[in-house]
Amino acid sequence: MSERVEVLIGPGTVIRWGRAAVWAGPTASPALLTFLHHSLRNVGSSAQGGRQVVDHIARILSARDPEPGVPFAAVGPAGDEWAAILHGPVQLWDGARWVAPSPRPGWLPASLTPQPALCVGPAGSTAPHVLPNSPYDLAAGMVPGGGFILVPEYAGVPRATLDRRDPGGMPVAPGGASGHQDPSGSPWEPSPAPLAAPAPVASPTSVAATMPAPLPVAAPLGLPADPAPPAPSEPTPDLPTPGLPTPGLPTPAAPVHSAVPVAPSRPPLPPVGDAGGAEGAGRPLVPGVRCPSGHFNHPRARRCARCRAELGGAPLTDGPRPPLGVLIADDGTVYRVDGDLVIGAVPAVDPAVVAGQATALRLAGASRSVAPTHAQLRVSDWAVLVTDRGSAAGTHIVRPDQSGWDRLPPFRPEPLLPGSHLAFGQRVVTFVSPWPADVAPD
Amino acid sequence: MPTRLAEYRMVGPAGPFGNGSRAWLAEPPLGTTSDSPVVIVELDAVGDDTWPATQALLHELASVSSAHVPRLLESGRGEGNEPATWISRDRPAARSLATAVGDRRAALRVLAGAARGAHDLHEAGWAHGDIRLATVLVDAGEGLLDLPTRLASTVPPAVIQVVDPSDLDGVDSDRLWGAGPTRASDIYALGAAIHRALTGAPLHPDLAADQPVTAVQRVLVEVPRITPTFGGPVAQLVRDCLDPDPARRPPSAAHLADQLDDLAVA
Repeated sequence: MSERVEVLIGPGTVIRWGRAAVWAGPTASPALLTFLHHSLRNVGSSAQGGRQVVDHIARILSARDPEPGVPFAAVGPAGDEWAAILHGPVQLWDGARWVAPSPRPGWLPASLTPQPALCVGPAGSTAPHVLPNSPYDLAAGMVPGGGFILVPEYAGVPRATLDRRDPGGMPVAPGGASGHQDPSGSPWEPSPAPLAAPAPVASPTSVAATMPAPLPVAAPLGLPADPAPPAPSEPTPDLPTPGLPTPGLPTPAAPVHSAVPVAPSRPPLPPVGDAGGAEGAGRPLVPGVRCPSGHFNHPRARRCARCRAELGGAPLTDGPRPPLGVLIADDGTVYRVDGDLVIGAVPAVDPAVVAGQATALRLAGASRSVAPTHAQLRVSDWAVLVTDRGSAAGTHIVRPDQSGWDRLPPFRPEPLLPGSHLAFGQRVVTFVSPWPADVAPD
Repeated sequence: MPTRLAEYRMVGPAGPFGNGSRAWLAEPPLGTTSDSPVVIVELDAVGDDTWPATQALLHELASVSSAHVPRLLESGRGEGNEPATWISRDRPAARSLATAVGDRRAALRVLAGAARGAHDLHEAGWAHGDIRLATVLVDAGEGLLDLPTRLASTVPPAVIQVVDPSDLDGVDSDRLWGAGPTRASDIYALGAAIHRALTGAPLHPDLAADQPVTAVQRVLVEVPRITPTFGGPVAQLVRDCLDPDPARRPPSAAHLADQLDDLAVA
């Protein structure tokens, strides 16, 4: 990301997160500013962040305009183009046409192609001076400002293009806030409907239904990347920028939130008593025996683990392997053992986990005694094997027939019998199973 | 208490509720069509590595529409003194059956409503997995089942988190042995909740609060103990729900709800 958001001097507030930016007039309420700030912080870095913000606000406005007449405008990326929403007496110039809302409904969503920049500010404002490589380049956050110029980074288009195109400053909208014309002179009537098809409204209080959903954000958002470096032929003036964010600020641990979108519904659960059901789907087939109710069990089990029915004389057959037991951690968390596990403080980085061949079991709150990938549990037929991954603190075990801790040799699989305790550094788990102890074949 | 969270302005503490350690009433965010407050519920903290899976689950959960389950509105993560992980939902007046006082008939009606909420979840492809008195809600005498938010913070391979050993009362052995929640395991939990609501006694008494591992191991091998003085058709219904064979439990949570409604007017 190398867009620039050049803040214009004047009353109001400019907000930028990621590739999206907002200007709000001085009459905007703190609640509105907070809302805009959070919306940008959520999705501003997304490639469709502008579209999401615009749809989000449009859905709100289509239901009820909380602050009619208050000027604000939001702009952000929407794939190869830019999306914007303008509300109240604001104006936007994309280099080829003016965009401004009409008095009714008082707001306007738009798709734009900067040619080469977008200029946002109050309707009828006087032309601001556009400085070459303005020092008022907002990297992230919220600052006072009377508008902004968003300059996308285009390959092969020098930044000076903007300055040459518009040496005098920001143009003034013909017709002010209530008028809008494109270069051809044809009126552009704002659509009263949002750009995206509205989802069904399930209840009047449903934000999930009334707010379009930003994309899920997986991790706290940081500052966007540094602004584009100046072209060699245009050294950046060494001007002071008091009060403005500068590149290289520490990345804030920004909170994230999102309106919960409505997802496709799931199929109903299998009926009560469905012995196989979805539980058996995708599980490896292993030899075992079935009880009269159809529950699949270890071949040497005497009673069904689910219904306690006698299993004597049941024929051997293949079936989906049920969970082989659970690990009970010292904090009371119970983990199922039904496939290979990588255990550690950061197990998600393990190649087996990344490849989908094992599941990460993160020991939450683990001290440094737990290695990032401390040990591995491997399941083979009805047996469970544990392997220390060469951790510094080692993996220790108390087997059911022992009373003391043994350190496992690194990288050598050992059978894990029911009733065993395992210590990964300072964390302890206990393996319990409804099945007889089994040892995997060599 | 934070004064603001995302677009919400906190009004005051809410609850007590079953899910999460803290809950607040909050004004609806700017632009929503309702003036009714919402409830912000703090969930168990979710790590960065599991947040995408958690949020995906919450997104799916938002599609569930039931008159007996609160509607999930938003989810998010905070910083500083804000909740690390939170959701917002409707039904701000609802209170937990664990704290609500009512007579036997009222309790049966509320539990019937919760069972209908469970059935609606089942039909929408969800098993709740955390039904207990604290997640059975009462709203103007009507029974609800709180959102299954622990599902979202218990990402596989985790099966359950034993915050309080008494939570194990409604966990059947299938789940403790690693199976995922099902219709049958939810019906088991409803049976345990009925028992607890009407007798005040747990099915597994004397579980030490500071020994979660021992508590799990005990519940794995112990037969749930129904209070000896608890008799009649309700007790039989509880026994049906707790049957070790899932196939012999009531065929659906809706069926259980019908029986509870019948018993409430008997």
